[in-house]
Amino acid sequence: MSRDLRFERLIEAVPERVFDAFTSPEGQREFYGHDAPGWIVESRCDLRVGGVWTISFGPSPGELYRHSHVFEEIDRPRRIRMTTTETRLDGSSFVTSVELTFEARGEGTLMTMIHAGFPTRALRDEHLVGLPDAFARLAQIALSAGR
Amino acid sequence: MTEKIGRARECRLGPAGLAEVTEWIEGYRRAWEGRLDRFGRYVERTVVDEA
Repeated sequence: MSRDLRFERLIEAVPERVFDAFTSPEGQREFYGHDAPGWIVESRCDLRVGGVWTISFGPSPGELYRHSHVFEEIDRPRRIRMTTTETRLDGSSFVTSVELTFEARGEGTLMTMIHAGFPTRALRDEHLVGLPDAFARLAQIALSAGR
Repeated sequence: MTEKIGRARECRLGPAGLAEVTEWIEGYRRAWEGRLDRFGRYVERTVVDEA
């Protein structure tokens, strides 16, 4: 069993502009930003295939979530593929595949983000720890049923 | 809960467990949707500022 989540947004800027913003330090900080006062975003990005983009974000230094994206494909201005590890406050983590596409729509860009591969991929990579118990149970049931 | 019936294995998840799964996925979806929206607004703002 696998669930893919798809997100879309039409942005009023050309694909090159949107792509470059997404790969810029300011754009990446904005992506993980929040209006809450004191919100923390620490981002470091090694923009190359095999490079890692790590972000720590949260409301306080004692409450930071961490995402680590490994770039699998960088095709300016069309596509970015990453393997993403999300780490929670208790240190547990899980892995998904994230694909971003930037398609011209008139003078704008349709930016699409697809998250794929959980929970079966998470299970395969033994990164399921940290998902809610019921989610883990559901995934394990699906996995055992597939054997 | 799983039960083997002949060659098939039947899988069941109670309503409470399913609700928990749905809630987790919904929270995940909201978080990422919010990031994409915020990023889109940021890009559009910078384009307007430069015009």
